[in-house]
Amino acid sequence: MNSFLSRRAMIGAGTAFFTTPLLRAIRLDDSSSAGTLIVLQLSGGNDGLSTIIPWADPAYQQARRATRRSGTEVLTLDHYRGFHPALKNLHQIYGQGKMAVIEGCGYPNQIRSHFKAFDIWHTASSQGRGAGNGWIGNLAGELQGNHHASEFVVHVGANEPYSLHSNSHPACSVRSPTAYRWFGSDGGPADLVGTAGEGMSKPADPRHKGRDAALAQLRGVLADAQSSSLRVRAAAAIHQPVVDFPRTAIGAQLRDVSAIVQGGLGTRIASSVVGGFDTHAGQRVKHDRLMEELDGALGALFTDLGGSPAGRNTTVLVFSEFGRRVKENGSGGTDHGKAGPMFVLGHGVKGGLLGKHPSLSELDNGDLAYTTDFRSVYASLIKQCLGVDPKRVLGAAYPSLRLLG
Amino acid sequence: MVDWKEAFHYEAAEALCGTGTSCPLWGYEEDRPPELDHSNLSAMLTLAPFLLLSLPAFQDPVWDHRSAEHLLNRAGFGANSVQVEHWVEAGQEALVEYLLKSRGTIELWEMDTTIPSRERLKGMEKEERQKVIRDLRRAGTLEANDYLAAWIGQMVDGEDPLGDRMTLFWQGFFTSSLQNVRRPDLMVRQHEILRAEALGNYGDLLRSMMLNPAMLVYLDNISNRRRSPNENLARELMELFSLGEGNYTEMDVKEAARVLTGHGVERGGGHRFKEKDHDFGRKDILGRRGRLEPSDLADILLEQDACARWVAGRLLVWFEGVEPGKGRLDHYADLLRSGNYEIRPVLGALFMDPEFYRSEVIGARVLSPIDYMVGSCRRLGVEPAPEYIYFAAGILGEKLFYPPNVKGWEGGMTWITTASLMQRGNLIGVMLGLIKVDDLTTDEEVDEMMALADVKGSAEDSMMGQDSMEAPADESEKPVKASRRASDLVRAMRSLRNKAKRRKFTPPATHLRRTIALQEPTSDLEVVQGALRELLAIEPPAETTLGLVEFLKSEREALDLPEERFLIKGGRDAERILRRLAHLILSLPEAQLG
Repeated sequence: MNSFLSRRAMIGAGTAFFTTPLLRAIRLDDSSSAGTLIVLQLSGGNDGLSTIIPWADPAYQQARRATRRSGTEVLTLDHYRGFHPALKNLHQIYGQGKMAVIEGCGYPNQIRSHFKAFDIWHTASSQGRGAGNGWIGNLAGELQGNHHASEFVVHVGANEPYSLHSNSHPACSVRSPTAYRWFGSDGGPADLVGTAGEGMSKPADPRHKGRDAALAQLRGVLADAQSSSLRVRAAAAIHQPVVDFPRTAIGAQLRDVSAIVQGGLGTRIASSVVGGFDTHAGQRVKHDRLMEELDGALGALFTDLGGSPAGRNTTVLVFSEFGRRVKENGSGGTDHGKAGPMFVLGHGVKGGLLGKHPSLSELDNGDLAYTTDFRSVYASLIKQCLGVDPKRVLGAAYPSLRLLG
Repeated sequence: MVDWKEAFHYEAAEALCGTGTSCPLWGYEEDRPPELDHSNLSAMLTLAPFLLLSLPAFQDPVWDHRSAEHLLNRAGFGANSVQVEHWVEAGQEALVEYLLKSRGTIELWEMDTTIPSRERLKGMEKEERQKVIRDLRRAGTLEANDYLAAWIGQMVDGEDPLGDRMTLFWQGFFTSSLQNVRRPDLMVRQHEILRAEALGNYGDLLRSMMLNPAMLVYLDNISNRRRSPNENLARELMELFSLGEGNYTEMDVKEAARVLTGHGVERGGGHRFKEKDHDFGRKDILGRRGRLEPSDLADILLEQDACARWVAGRLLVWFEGVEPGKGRLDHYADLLRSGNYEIRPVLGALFMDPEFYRSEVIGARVLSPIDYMVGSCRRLGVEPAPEYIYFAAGILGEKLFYPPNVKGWEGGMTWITTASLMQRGNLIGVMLGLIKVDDLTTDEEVDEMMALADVKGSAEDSMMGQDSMEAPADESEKPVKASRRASDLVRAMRSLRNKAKRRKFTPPATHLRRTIALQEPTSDLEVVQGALRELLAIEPPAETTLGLVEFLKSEREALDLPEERFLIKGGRDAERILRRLAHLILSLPEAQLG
């Protein structure tokens, strides 16, 4: 066996491994009642005002000279706002009532630095990573308890976000399924390590606490890598999307995400990241392309998820670390701002426009002031999609929005 | 040279006063009497006079393989056992002196800086103009890759280990990204300054970096004008480049931004000052008032206690991998400040400090991708095309010139994911010639599963391109591709091959047989132990060693090679077996630490 999969594991699992759970899932289209959450991060600060466009607001037309759109250009949402012209799929999904747009999302004392803002979004705490695990890491812990399944949380692509960070329940991180394995002859490093360092012959030496802790963590990651390698690859290979995903980076990533959440691997949370939204200069052309790629990939994902019960039970959350300045800068772009919209879509989503529209005339230092705490959206999905008490994950209670069902 | 013994006494005194958070009394914790627990510090206080008489604490710490290797790992990029042996013999002071020695001036990289001049682009059609700009940019990026590859080659050679390691430090300290700067020439020029000043003076670097063209572009100071100030550079200058958060106010940031107005970049890439955009008015920063200019701003920042603490803290974390205790931080901040921010003496003191060699620190740091790749090459004694290491580090999350954000790489355990851990081993396997492109694009295991399940494969992937053409000729037998996406690994290998008109990636020659034979092993166990000694900074548990022995034994027996004379008789076969053994060892969790 030319593989990363340990010989021992193969012998132990025997042929049963080949027939369950993966293939059974494919054949029987396993429909578990538990929901799955996909979190898509738009890195760099998406310009919310160029995504859900308040074209009828004179303040918008006034502030935006280079990036503004007219009422005839946008895809109508209502008498005041419309979708970016490239968001054809999302507009359609919204029209079917399967997409919720939550406007004015943010948090108190919003921070304009990318990484500090991400810290807050990823930990759902104003303290950032000083607070500990990421919110998805905490959520995974709540859902699994003492158990740990390696593919429970899966990140697809580079740059695994801190939101997935957990000391006890680390995520599995897949950059591209084909290379998601250890290439070597016969067995592999995991075979030599034993089970995550248990049963080591040497007694623990307190002087090497730091080193031993690091080793234990590395062994855990190696064990997760070993146990998820073949299943992830197989899920990606076997999945036959009901629609062609666009040949963009984000399209390819979401194709793999779709394969994994529908692959019967027990994945409950999947994550992916798309960058390029930091449009300080020449925004129009860049943002148009970003919207087109995002729409193509999300549209395909939505359609593909419609092809199985597990997919139909999956909810997609889209967020960015901040919105952008209301007034353009001198270079045809926009600088870091504050509040921005979040999107939730899926076949089980109760669509519509949620949250309170942030005023374009009463600004917070030139920025949109937030009207909905982003943690309300997290909390609602934690409860409605994954069935966990949000307070246990977020440490505090937040007003709930009706997003599902 | 700084007197390290004085530093040591300072630490010991500090421990007795109970201010230290770590346990600094004994340079080597092996010497530490077990009954004396750190939690008993208060009890120790009363006993202090007696303890001073009875403890071996003030003896010179032992300079042995472990400490020499630790210093070579942290101040450089690792070493093989012959090199370690050399420095154990030569002594600690000799090694520290060697590391700190100035390597002379850095030869400037000759770069094609043909930027699209207005004249040249004039009269061109829009499309043609865009193409020219695009081509130049692409050429520039390749040029930057070549520059970085050459630098990485130097790391592998080990000409200036500490200089290179400190350059990496400054690169993560005064960050800039080619992603935003978009001008490789500016990035290269900035990098040359960091290299030249890597062991020089922090104050000089701060002054240079705050007006450095790449920095001015990266942090938007080119649009920082009197009438429309941009605070980006001013903020990061205080938060990340000098003081650390909490040591300045929002007002200080605003005022510092005014100081920096008008400083931009001219077309040729040099610094440019536009008087009409500059705010010449009075400013008020951290208690200093006046018509402050950038040099005043630097003075003000360097005068702050927080500045020395911030820089000293970042240095300690860089070299030790853990946050320093308060006493230790204070000590090094004082040292930095009193030495007028000269870096060399501070590093000299650190490398002579017994605390630097405490067990808590040794082998507990996760290697960065550059560390892992360069260190593995040095330990294996191979010199692959440095481009390969550059790409490999990029795949593993450390793409030079592209830090993830202005804070630089986070490091530590964030380097490690399920994907990156497997990929680390794979990249070594490719380097050793054990993994071929075809291996990467086919997946027999998955094919087998799908055949069992009788699932029809998804569409052939055209992205797989030429490499999959060597697959079976018969269409119906073509193996199913696991994914539409070509893996990073394949892409990296391909991009090397596309450049192959100039340089083709071929696995470097290895001499593992010769290296391990120096230790005169006569059994499989001794061969494995020899390989482990060469390749790992820390010892793996017995289970792992035995597993490797089993591997070696089965490989050896399959070729009917004798155990006791394996290395001598084995020839090329033995070399190949040892390469496979090295691949396994470098894929272990232990290989990620140093």
